[in-house]
Amino acid sequence: MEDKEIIELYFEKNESAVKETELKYGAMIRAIAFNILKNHSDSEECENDTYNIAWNKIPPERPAFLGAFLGRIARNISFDKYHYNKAAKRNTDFDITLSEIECCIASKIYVENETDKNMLSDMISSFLKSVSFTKRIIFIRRYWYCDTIVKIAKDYGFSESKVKSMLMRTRNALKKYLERNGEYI
Amino acid sequence: MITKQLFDIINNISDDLITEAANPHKRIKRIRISKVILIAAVMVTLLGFTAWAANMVIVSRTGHSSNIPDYYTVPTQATLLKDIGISMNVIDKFSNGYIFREASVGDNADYGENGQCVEKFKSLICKYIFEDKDISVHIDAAAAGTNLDDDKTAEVYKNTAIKYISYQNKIVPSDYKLTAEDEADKRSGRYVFSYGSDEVEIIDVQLIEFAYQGLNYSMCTFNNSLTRDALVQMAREFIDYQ
Repeated sequence: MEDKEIIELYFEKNESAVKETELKYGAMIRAIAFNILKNHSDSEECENDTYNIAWNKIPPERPAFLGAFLGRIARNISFDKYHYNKAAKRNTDFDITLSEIECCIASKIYVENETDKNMLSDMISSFLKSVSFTKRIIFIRRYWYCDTIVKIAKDYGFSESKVKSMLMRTRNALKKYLERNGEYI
Repeated sequence: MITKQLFDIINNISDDLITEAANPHKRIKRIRISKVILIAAVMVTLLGFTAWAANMVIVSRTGHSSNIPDYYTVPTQATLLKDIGISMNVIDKFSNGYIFREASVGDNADYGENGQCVEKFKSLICKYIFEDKDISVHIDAAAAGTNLDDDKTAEVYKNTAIKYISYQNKIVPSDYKLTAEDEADKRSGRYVFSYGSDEVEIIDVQLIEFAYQGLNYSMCTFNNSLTRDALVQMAREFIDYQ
């Protein structure tokens, strides 16, 4: 079913909206949650919470990109649960993912409010649109979808070392981009 | 910067970029292109044979699938019938240790000589793994059938011809210009050339094909030490599982 049709079901408060969402995006939502939490029962819980939140948010929201909208909800729920989980249940892969990206978005950056955060998000988006397609996809798969290096390498037919070096070069380029455009550094 | 702020900043990058990465352009998909679709297209265009469907000549095939698997567990016959209109049993593990990892649904189209679309069809692409190797099994009900000629038959099992080929595939970037040496290699059959990678890459390809109970099966693996007989045995096991 097309996204527009699914969104119309939400607007009609037709319960098959959730069923259609699950059919089309369930796998993606579960994958995002599992990449962060590395736990199937927590991931399932996040998936169900995502549907509940989508049901409540639409309407009035009418997302232009339903997949990204749902993925973002799933990421937020998963991240909150990730921090709620005790240390023993932490996912070191996700910790590493965050530390990789933190190194290129300078630790000196002091983000005061939502406006600052949004401006930085926009700058990163502009940067990503300026790099090659392959580098952009791999960057987003790693840092937004939180895929592991192993999975990215297998999915795209690269060696793990190639994926790591592509990510490192992209991070370095992002850091330089932020420095050039930064009032941030 | 605190972790939550960093997470939020990445969270809020443009929706179109997030969507692009969820359904990437065919250009990058072709690298993985379950390489099976790519191989099928390569064989049709470079090995000099054409597939027939409904008395039409099929000269090219396109295909794409999402990078996020549709199934993380073996899909049931009922699920496949509902999702893609194919009725079959997906084997969960082979006797040689290869086990089911994930599966994706592909959208494909066959085109005739004048560029017209002859048929659109869905396929199932299953990935099996053992240690650091994997095998893709591509299943569809395309009218064009399988690609390999009868002289590639390795064995006839339960009235089904199991066909096998192996060759070296040189995959090059889309803007790559073939050198004189490349042209010579292409003429001699040393390499089969195809386009779509980021860098020049040479891979050993092994391909098994058979048609059984109205479905076309392609089992494809790269740089794998499995022998022809081992792959034929896997084909037998898939047939036995139906």
